[in-house]
Amino acid sequence: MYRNLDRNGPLALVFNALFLLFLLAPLVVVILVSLTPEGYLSYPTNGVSLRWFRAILDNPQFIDAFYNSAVLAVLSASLATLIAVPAALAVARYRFKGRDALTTLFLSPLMIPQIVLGVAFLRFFTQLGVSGTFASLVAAHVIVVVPYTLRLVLASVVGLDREAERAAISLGASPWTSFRRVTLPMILPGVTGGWMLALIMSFDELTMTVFVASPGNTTLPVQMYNYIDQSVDPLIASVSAVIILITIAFMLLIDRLFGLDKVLTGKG
Amino acid sequence: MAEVSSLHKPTANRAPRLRWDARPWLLCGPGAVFFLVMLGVPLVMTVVLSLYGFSYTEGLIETRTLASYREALVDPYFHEIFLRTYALGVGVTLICVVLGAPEAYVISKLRPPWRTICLLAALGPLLVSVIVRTLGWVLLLGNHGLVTEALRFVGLTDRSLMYTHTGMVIALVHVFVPFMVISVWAALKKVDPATEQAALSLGASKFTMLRRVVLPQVLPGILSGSLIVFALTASAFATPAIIGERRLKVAATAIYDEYLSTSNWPLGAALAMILLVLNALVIFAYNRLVERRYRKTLGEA
Amino acid sequence: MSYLSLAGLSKRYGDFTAVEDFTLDIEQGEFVSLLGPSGCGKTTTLSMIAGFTTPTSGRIEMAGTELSRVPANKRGIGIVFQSYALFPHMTVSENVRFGLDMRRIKGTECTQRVADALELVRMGGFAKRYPRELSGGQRQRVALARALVIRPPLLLLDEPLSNLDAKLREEMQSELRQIQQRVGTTTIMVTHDQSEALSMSDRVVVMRDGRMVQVADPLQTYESPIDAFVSGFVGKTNLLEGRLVADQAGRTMLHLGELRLEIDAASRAAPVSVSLRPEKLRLVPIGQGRLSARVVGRQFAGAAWHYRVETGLGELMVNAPNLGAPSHANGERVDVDWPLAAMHLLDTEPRPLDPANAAGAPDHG
Repeated sequence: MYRNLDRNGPLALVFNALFLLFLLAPLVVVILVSLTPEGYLSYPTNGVSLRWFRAILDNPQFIDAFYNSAVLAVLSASLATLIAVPAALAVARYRFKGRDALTTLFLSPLMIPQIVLGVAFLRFFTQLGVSGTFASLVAAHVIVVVPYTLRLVLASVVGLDREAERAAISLGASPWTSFRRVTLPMILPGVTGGWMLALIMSFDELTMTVFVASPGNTTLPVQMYNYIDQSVDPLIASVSAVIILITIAFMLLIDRLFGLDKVLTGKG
Repeated sequence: MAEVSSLHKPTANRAPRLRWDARPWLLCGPGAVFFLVMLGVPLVMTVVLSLYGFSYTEGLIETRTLASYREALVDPYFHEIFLRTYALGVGVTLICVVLGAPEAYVISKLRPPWRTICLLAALGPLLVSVIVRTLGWVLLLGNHGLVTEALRFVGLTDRSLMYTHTGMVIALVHVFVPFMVISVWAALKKVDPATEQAALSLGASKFTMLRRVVLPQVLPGILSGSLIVFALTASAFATPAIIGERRLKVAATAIYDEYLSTSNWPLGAALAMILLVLNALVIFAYNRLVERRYRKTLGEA
Repeated sequence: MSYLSLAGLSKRYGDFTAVEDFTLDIEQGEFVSLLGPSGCGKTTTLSMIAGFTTPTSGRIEMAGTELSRVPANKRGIGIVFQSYALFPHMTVSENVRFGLDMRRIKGTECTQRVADALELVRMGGFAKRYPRELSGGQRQRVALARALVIRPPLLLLDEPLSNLDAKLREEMQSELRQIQQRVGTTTIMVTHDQSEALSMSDRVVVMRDGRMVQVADPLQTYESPIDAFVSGFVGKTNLLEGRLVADQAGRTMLHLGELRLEIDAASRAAPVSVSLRPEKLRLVPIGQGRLSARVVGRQFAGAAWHYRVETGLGELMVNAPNLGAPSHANGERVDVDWPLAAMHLLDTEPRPLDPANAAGAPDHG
């Protein structure tokens, strides 16, 4: 019955086009400006040039920050997964006192404004005397990204068919073997999806990191924010263009593997 | 964020365990300790910090005083900042509802290849760094930006939209509207398309069908999307900092400046605590309201 | 002039033909089923009548009015959807009232009609409930009440019972039919369940690959299937390959393996398929039947025994009523017997629909 259900009218299609134009225009403009051959902000009306991409290589502060951000993202996403998977199993599998409180605890960073987290971490790390270290950045990022990972892992554990595990045990598998050979492969899409989402969230994080990064240990968004605070030139556009392209590649990968909408709604 | 509350409810009923079971605690214990220390201690430290005194000559004074809170709550300068912050929150949320909810519906009605393409285009920007997206708006709204030139050409305004409320609203809507789309999209996926056909077969016009059958079913999605957009807008930093700069401060940029420009840490900490409490109050009240309204009709069936 | 007239309805999606030349006249008050496997076009046909799918060609006329260009929300047709499509955010009575609201029927008339409709489906006590608080069968009843309360000139049922369990489905079959007869609404039902189609309808339209194969009343559909597809789809059958041969005396003989049977048919000297329903075969003592056989399998189904027997014509299914007597054992030798009239001859090639059955059907090349 539903195959031919009322399609969008022309008005709806125009709305859709305008909406997507609104969403994509800033990104397109950034890429256009990054291709300018001129020495100032302009559109590449007189030919296209990659000079501002080459210029990135002459600015080690961006290269270093990119490297820092990448390592930080991989480390914090992996650590977040190590926390989220057991936590999700505990919350989904057992009924125990404090279960709801635990869930709230692990998801609470979503509800605390990131600027507040930044302020709090700054004070904490300063008092501990570890302010500005890379380890403190990792610890702070783990807190921020765990909720994203946990939601996806939790969704896959809750949706899991427990009969499969019972079948494995009835066939003689030990609890550990049944977890490794049956449970883990079944929740793996949720775990990987959560890891990748955490990776992006950590890589993009600015508001909290602005407070805990130091000039010696900075991340790409912080570096870019400080740069934009001083001046806007085609160099920052080309750095942004690189980020856009990397993000698109990542997004397509996530969508192909898990479905972007499922990852973003936390229903992996 | 509204999803958070639904996770609190037990997902299944099982026989109560008589014996205390150590296994769940072994599984999540280390993570829980890490979270308690990393969240609890810093927040308590910040509260303590907010109670310290401050003078421009001596810096931090280790006393216990409510002076910073008094300043933050009495000074009209901060009134204006908090008013701006929450007005932006409400305005951006409303615009996101008006734009995002119809967009999600339109996408859901597209033919297969286009549906995926448009969904990716609508949600993808969410993954692109906020700073990059805001830079895009700087380029569009700046003195020689396309939007500014276009507005000049039409004769609407000859001023650039940088450092204006309009500019901030546009950029913030751009940053947060995908959250509304995804939220409504998730709600739409649960709607049986046959209910739309049923409404039509019973004589409803297309508009009546949307208003009386589709809208009520996706309302929970709109409400949870609104909460996310509102909370994120009220604590947004990068976009207001770059588009509004220091001329149009919001709570987050004010906190940043107290910390990193003025170095009045106690005042910054007090502002942060006020922002935290206000946001938590809004989230809590909103969840209560929504839950009471919807538990009966659209509860998790 | 019939009440509802479908003439040459077709629906094509690009190269794919979903429905080809659907032509049928339906009388007022009639209950017609569209029966076929999934993908046979029955749902698309229903959707065209409902107005959710625009026909590529053809006409839909109801009580003399051409409907094909009337939008779905102006046709006034009552529909019960496969998923029931109850509005989850409205109570039972709000669901039923929706169609009356659209017709601006208010006050006591509205209240009365909602109450009557709910009484009709025996859901009077559930007016304040929400759909998610109801069982599948109850939702089904509400969906029916919602469709009937607008007093539709035509009721469409899209696989209405497919979401119910077996026992409930049987109960609802007879109840649905009773309600339909009491109200007298002309009804078209789409189903893939042959027993549902046979037990509920005045006429059954068997469809395959977008085309109508046979239109007949339930008994005729079952007893005289037009081809091998219908005989296999409607009920179970034993299909035997044979030949018609005219002998020297001018009689028509059916050759089935070693068997030579004289039958009352025009001699065509052609290969034929013979359909023999399992319940028409009897297992009899050796020497008393037409065919010798050996029992190779048996299944007890309460009211009957289902046997599989090995014969010179291949394996046959035989259903025997359970009369309390001991059954035949596996491996037992028996004879199989059947009345000559039980044999139904089929063309080996599927043949076009007989125009006499579907009034006004044009030639199906």
